Amino acid sequence: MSNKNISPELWEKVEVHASRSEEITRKSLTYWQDAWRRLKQNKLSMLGLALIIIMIMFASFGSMFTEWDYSSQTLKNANLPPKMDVVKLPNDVYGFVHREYTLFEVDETGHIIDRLEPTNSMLDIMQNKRRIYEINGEEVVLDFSFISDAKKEGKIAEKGFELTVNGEELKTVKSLWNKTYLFGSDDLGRDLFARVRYGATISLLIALVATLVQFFVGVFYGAIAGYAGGSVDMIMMRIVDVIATVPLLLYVILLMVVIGPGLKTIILAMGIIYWVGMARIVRGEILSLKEQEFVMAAKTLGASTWRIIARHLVPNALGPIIVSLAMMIPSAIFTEAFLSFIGLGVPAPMASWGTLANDAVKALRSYPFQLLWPSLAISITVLSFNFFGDGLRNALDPKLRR
Amino acid sequence: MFKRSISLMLVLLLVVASFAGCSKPAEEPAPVEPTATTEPAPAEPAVEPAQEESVLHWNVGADPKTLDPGLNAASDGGNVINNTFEGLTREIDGELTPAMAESWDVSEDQTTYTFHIREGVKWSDGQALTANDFEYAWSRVIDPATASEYSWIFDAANVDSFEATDEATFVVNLKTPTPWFLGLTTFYSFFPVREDMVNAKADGLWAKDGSLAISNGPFTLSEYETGDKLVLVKNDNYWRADEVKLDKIVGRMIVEASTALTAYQGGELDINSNIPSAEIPGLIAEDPTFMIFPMLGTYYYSFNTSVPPLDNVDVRRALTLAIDRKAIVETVTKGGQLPASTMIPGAILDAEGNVFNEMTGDYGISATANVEEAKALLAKAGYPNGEGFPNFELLYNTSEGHQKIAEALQEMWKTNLNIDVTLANQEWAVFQDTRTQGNFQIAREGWIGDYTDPLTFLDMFRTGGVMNHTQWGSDEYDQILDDSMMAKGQERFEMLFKADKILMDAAVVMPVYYYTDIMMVADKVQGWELTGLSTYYFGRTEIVE
Repeated sequence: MSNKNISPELWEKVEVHASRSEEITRKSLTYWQDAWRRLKQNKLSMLGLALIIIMIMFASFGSMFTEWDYSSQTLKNANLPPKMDVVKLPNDVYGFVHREYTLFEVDETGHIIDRLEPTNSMLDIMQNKRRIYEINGEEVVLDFSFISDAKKEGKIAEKGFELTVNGEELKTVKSLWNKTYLFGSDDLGRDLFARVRYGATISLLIALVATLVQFFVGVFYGAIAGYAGGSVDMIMMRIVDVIATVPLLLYVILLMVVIGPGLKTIILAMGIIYWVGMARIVRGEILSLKEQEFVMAAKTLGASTWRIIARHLVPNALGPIIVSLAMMIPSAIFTEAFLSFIGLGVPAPMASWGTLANDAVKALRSYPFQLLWPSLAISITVLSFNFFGDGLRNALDPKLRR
Repeated sequence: MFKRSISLMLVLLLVVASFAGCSKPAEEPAPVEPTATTEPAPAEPAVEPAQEESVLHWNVGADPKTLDPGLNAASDGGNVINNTFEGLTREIDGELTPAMAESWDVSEDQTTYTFHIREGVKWSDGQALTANDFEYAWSRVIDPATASEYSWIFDAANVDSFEATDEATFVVNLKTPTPWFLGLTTFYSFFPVREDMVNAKADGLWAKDGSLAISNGPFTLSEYETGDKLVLVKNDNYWRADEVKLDKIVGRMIVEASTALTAYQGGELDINSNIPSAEIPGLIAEDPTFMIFPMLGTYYYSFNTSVPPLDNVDVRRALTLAIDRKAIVETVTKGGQLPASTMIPGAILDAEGNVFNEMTGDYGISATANVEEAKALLAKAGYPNGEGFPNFELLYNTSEGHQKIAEALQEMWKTNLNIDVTLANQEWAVFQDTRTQGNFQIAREGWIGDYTDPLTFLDMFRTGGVMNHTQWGSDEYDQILDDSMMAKGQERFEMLFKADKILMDAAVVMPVYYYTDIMMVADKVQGWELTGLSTYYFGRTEIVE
């Protein structure tokens, strides 16, 4: 029962303006601005987008970080790892013992200088399992008989090799990153960095082709089928069914017989098959959109069929189209990698991630790093496109709009 | 609530289903396998060890094109045939020993061989083996209708005629004394086959059919699964069956070298010679069961001399000179191979005991690349610095090793001559046909000698020879080889030196390296043999646990 006596002067009457009752206080956003705003909130898809951009940058400018071309071989530098445990040789240069039990000279920054030539005969190397080098007048012996000796006695060796100078063992002093071959080298002494980068351009090219084919063939094929309806739709969609029934692998093999293996074949095979899914999605969208009033309005105003499809229907179906595009790209990249892996891909010396992985599998026990890079690249790219596509779907879905 | 319980039930169902799915494959390997290779279970200390089968697991490699002795032309098939069939003689421990023939008489002029077939020798179905089987088999190989890729070997052996004079006597007349003829009777083209079986299934398919593959060797084929495995079982009707200690040989067809190595190291294979080259240096150092043997064979490429620009000898020679063979054997093949400058491996000697390929010299083909001369030759041919040189295709049969060599060659030609090469590969069986049809530009080849004489290499390149895929031919070359048949001793070798020079001057082949045999044989396999021509013989092999 307190006395809440507020003096009437404090009160002010608000004038009601008819014009301001309709005012929008929040900033007006177009459909795309709103989608972008919501996409930005999705951390995973932004990460995906960032990774895609990084991958594109890597493919375009990566070659600046390596002196090698994707196909240039330096046979004696084969199978060098990206990280090397080095010892200090008598001539004050670092030495690296290769998995093949050969000795390389490495400078202090991690550049490969050269492979050293042993002074003992091939027979001695094979029989006594050791390589003898002469460095600065001193005898360096690389003894790698331990594992073999242990195996004969059914034991497990403690170490693989021993490097001695005049009987004194050289110990590993530090680990150096390989600066000559950033990702290591493959079994023909080619730079893996250059090859993975080259693989990136191929994968992105495939992604681009898949996108273009879907957009220009799939979208318009689907739109025409959906808009025309009736028997035209029936015939067009049965053609789609027929194309979709034959597996991609079969197309690739058949095309290889006709035009030979290569990037052309893969691109053509993808061109034949990749628009099919898109055509079905777009047809479904158009079927429902064409019954709406704005289409009727456009028709009444005398718009041509082509104009109705291009200016009214397709833009309205763009949401699902873009989402489907973003989701099909990783599938296209993965398909190319798969085809290359089973040997139906790009011919040597071209490298795609699939062929790189295939080459690396053969040397997996000794040089696992060779498999790491291409598979990492495939995983990152496919994942980031998937994240991005997922975010895009949420952002473009009108039902999730606030 | 209801919905939730349904979904829970569904999840439960899924989990149960997935376990049910797992149980089968998980349980199946659990019972002790009947094979002898797995270690005997310690729980049952030697119940009946004597009854355990002695099985050898061996990697055949690629699926052999044929197992018919008369049709085979590849070493993978030869390895199997040498164990399923047996010729008049057999090489054991490097010695020529009597086999189907118990003894033989040689006429004074060394041109007539009379073989006396061993008494009581039988085919694996128990039927008696007679001299007529040899007559049939030999006639079949030289019959053009058979289309044997090896029919020419009868010419190489100077076989003039042969006849089974009675069931136990087989007489062979030679055109001229041929010291290597007897050695060739250990070779599969001279093995007997059964006429009724050959006619039972055409194109040599009878030899891959367990019910039709009647043979006369220590083992006989019982199962053949294309691309997977073949099973050989002991032939109880073999005349030396008591010496054969293995009950069964399982020949797997693992083409992928890394898979084969994993299988070997996992104990699934006892003998494997399909080893990834990347692992060889490590294995040489670390695995005492890894072995390298020299081999009477040459790895080379054939130029198809009927297609431009390869019809130009300067182009062929430029390509031959521009490759670094030393780098290939050291970094790519890694199996202790030697760079090859001629077709004839170093194990072949002339009549005076000199190494044949040292006498002929290297024809300027050095172990490392001779870029200057190669460039000059290419310029002379009209392609200075490789300009305007048409893109051509290098064909090889699908294999990791061949591909690596092809890639290395591609890069060497690119950097040294500025020439672009496309690589193409085909499956072994298809590849052999393509090569025979001359449907290629440059094709990979490998030749393992059939007898220790330079003729086994030189004879291939006669005009129109089946193994001469180069489409090249020289009347002079053919004439010299014909003349050499009549010559003797060093005089004959002088002729062969000349022939070798014609062949290498024509540069129709590009030798890369001389083969070595690399293989891994588990310690428990004892008494295995590799003949002088690098063919396996398991007739005296046993598994010692």
